[in-house]
Amino acid sequence: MKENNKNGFKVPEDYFKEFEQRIPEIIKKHNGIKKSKSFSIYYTIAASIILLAVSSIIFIPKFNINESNINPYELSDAEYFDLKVSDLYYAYNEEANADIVTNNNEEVENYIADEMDLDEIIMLSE
Amino acid sequence: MDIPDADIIQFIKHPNSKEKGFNILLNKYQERLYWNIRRIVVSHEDADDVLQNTFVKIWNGLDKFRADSSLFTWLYRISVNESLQHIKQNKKHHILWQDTSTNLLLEKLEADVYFDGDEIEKKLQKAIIELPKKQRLVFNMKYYENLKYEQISEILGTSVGALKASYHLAIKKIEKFIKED
Repeated sequence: MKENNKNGFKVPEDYFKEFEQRIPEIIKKHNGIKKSKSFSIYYTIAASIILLAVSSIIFIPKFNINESNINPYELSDAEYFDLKVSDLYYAYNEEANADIVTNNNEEVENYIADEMDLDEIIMLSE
Repeated sequence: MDIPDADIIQFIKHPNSKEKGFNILLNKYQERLYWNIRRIVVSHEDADDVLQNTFVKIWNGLDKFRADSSLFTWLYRISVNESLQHIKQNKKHHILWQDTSTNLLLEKLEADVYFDGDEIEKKLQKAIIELPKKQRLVFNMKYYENLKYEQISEILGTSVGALKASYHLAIKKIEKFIKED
């Protein structure tokens, strides 16, 4: 077994040689399957879009986050800061000990960097 | 022979030499990307799957690569995203409510036949797995890969200041974890 000097992780002998030989075949197979399915996929996608458009008109979704069905990672910066403090608390609580923000908001990154308590974040947000 | 990235980019831009460029890229970066992935997903089998998906994605994205970022950071970003996606998928397939990503990765570390570190090495890896996602990524890239903060910033889309803070916090947490018991 090939030794890696990074703290105990190892790979099988000749793994990288074998991988390098394997990949071109996999890509050919993958793209072959993609081409044959693409025709029916286009129709499926078109039908889904139409269905979604109709549903969204009939059933306007509520931005209901009280049951913590929001994943903080999927929010844009603007959406994130539009959340009420109580909702922010709820969303954060569900993702305990995880980074709670998207990448580009410097202010909230500073909160994380400082490891502020949730109560402190809530106070500053109010 | 180490072919510069600028040359590889020239190869992949032309349809006639795209495959040649890809093979050079594969040869040059597969090992480095593997270890980056492995440190995120922990087990060799998962790393193999993710590395495979990564290179399929790289191949499919070559035509769209605009060299706004360096080739290396582009490849790295794909490998990070694929790794995180894999972890997310794994979590969905486990129906027990208490199976968080952290628990699943810890289980994989214990079960992985391609890990034979001693107790200290295992404890270090456990400490890293316990870190919040962003801190873990930053720690791995800084400590193991010795990437510059500017490179990590390009890969993760996070400011350099926040990265420095993340790394500092990661080290403190790891030290604390290792000193326990």
